[in-house]
Amino acid sequence: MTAKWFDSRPLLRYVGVGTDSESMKVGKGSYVLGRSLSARCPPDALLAKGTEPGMSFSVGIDLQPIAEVESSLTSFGARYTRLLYTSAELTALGDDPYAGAQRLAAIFATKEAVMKVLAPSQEIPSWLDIEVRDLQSDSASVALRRVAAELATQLGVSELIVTLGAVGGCAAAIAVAQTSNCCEAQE
Amino acid sequence: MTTIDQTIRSVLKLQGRLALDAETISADGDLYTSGLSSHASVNVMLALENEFDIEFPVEMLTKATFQSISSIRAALEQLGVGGGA
Repeated sequence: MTAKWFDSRPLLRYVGVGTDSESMKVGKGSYVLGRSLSARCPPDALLAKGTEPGMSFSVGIDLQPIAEVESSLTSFGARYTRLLYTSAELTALGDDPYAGAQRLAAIFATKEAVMKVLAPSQEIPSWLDIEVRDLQSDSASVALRRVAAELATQLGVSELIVTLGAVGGCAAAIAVAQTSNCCEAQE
Repeated sequence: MTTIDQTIRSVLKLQGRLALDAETISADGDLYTSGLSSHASVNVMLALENEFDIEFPVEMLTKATFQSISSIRAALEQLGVGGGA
């Protein structure tokens, strides 16, 4: 079996932000990277050049073993895919089951990375609220709906960047969101 | 240990990909700290649907539902398993 999809692409690539018809947002908790980078209301010394005071970044990261997705596809088929992936994401898959599992793992990792950036505390977005688009192009995007879109709005997410890759049989995704509402929420 | 709990533990063993043996986790032990991932929790839910011939409503697919064996049992009972609901 060959990793056709990942082999032909750079390890990391940017994914633009899609706003869909409502708005967009980013994932939940920010683990190691997120906690150190989200620095709500960072001191001036930590602001990146060109970053406005009051603007901060949240980062989410996720790894999804491709073999686990393959196993889920084998065990549960369409019942599994319908829960986690939008019809548009499924339609965009090719016919090769292994390549499909790779892409689904990448999509799921991206959804989870975005969830971590959004850091929901009460109402949790459905995985279907985060749609990964154009995964095979160099300008993939994330569209947010319903609860996910509402959370992004609350956080003041103005930009969402996702990088994808593959590491040791896992799909990997990192989501970075630029947010503007952190300070108002804290004060 | 109830039959429902035994089935939950069997499903966790097969689908939960836990770092600990599902047979030894206490009923109230936190499954996420035992290694349950979001992805695995979906597989656990689908396997429980097969075992009990039920369907979890989407709103029950939350982190809280799969927090522990007790919380899973409570969700199953809410769906009528074991004479609940």
